[in-house]
Amino acid sequence: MIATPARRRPSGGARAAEAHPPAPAAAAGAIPPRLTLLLVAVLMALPLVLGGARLLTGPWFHQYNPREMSLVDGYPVSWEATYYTDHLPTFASAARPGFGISPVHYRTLIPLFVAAQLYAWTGHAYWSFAATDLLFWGLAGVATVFLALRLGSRPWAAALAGLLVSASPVLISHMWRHDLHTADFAGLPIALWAATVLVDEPRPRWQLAGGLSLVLLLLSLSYQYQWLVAPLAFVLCATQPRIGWLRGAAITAAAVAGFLALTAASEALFRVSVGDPTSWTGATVAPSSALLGRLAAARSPGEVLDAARSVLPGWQQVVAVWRAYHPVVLLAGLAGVCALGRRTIALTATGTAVALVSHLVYPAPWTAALCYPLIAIGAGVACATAGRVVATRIRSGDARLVCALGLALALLCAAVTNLDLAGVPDFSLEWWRSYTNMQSRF
Amino acid sequence: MPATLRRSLVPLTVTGAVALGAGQLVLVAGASWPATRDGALKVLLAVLLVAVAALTVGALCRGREPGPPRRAPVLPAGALRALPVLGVSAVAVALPLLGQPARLSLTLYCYLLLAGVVWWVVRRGAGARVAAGAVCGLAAFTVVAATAQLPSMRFIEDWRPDSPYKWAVGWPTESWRLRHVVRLPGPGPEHALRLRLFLARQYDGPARVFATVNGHDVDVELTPSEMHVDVPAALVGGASELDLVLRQSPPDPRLRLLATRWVEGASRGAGATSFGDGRRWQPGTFNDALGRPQPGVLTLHVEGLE
Repeated sequence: MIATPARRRPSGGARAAEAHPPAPAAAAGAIPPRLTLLLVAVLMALPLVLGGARLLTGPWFHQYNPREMSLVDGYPVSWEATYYTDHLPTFASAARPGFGISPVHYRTLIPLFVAAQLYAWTGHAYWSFAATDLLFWGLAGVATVFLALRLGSRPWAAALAGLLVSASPVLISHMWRHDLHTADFAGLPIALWAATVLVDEPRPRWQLAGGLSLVLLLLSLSYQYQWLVAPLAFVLCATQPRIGWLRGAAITAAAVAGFLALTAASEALFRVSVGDPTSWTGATVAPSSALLGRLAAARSPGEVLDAARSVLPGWQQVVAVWRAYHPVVLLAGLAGVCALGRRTIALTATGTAVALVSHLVYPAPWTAALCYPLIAIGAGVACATAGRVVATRIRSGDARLVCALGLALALLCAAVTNLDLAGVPDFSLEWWRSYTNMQSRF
Repeated sequence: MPATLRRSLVPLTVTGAVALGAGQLVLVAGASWPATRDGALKVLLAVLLVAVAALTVGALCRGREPGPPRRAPVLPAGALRALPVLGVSAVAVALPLLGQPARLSLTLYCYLLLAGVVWWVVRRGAGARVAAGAVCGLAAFTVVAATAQLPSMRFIEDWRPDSPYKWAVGWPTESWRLRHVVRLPGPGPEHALRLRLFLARQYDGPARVFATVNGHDVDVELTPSEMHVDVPAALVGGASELDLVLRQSPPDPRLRLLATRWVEGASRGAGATSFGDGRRWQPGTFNDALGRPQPGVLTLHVEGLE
């Protein structure tokens, strides 16, 4: 994926990096170009297959809660699609919008823009939203492969990780809802890859902080993963020997400050040019206010202590994480993460901690599964390693057998969360049932 | 054959094949071939843009991901080289939007962010020339969209009479019955439950709906959007199922309930809903607008089990 444009003599920082590489546990390699093209094609096609199948057999949400299903162009969506279809004319006609960019639009602005451009081309709202979701879903799988390589996975394990992200319940669960959450969720592996590249390649510190600010801004415009990636960026910096934790903290702080300034500027721009957000203003939960609001409302030391205690995750959050990934995938993922070394362990531990707190604020399975790219990378490594171990015992490590066994194990991991395709919708129903804002029994 | 052309041959051929295949699918799906010159130009441009995207992906895949930063090269500063490409393309995007401040600012903002990302990713992987091509492709895509004038319309519908996904069912005759069976998760609780069914539209006519649950008459209440069937604690306590039967008198086609195609969430699956005359039941629903049975279930929610 990454070519070598005009090489320059490494700077002092680069020489230091070469002297102290972060030594991942698994030896990394590159995927041959032809296989890369094939892999990209497969990972872009997989969402078409998995998503298309659900349109025939039943999207997860519509199976669980058909009463909240609506229609766009005669096809099924969730009623929340109206947040976004309401703003399609803003992007596709000269009519002045009736209301501005509310938080629910702001946090999905990039996917909404892409969907609106496709709508302007085709005039079909339904398929424009679907194409946007499918495009980002495919990119999530591709980005996971390269993120896995960056974190030290072998190529085959990285490819399996891409497959597992594509088959992840996080991405499948919202397909055909047309709330653009599939595209939003896909932003996480893409941004994590970008942050890892920014941190790992030698560049001036101000440039790194600026780049990370933009990554956080893009994340805030495609869901709210900036609150997860900011601490992960610190972990990436701290585990990069060229940077270290002290400079890493400074860079991350500068990146967050830059992100906040860019956010304020963006919101001001939209307020001036589009108008005041007067519609759908209460449709989002801001993690910052949900967490800090309790502390800010405290009036005595006892209340402060209670407020602090109330944001500490409990057993329910652990169970939610356990269920959201499916135990088989989670255990495989954690085993693989451990094999990838301290950097990936630190990333996963930090991400899981953020997930536990996030689930406390917003008890949804997709907040519990906040670390899904890292768990998928771990599961890919575990499947590939297990395949290699078994193949070595059976036939002294025949390369094709290694790949076949690894793939079989990865398909098994993917299957446990995709059994609805075989007429066993228990996991998909439980996934939505665990979302406490939405109860349906019929 | 020049190497550049040879390298481009595979992605171009694949793109052509995909475009032809997609075109066939669209035609099979019933779409008419673009009837206007504007439509035909859009299709042509779309195929060209797909080709640009395919070439870009091909170029990116030919590069090599260096993996962990053992010998990561220091890349030349790209921001300055991006400025002319991003600047000129942004002007091209902005021109058709002059006089539309909201659309202009939103489009430019999102375009510049996306173009910046495309430039950064492609330039790292395939060099500045390919990156400039990719940004120009994105700009062309945005410019065409910027010329569209699609009027505001109501996109969301709750249901359609002929929808395969969500439709409405009624009681065509006085003897017609609708039935829905809910299997309770464990023995029924010792308190009342409410069964909520959803009306196709608000109703204030003369018809009334009468309900029985497990063979006992129960109260039915209509709200502007829902029908509520209150099941007393005496019927719920210890029960394993709630067998709801609804009839209407006099029959009025305006009082209708919503039904849906997907049955997996129903506790009794495809057999949850049935219709008939009270003695013989047929599974699924009867779409009287189409005059034929339609597999599916009534949209219903049991309130009180949460």
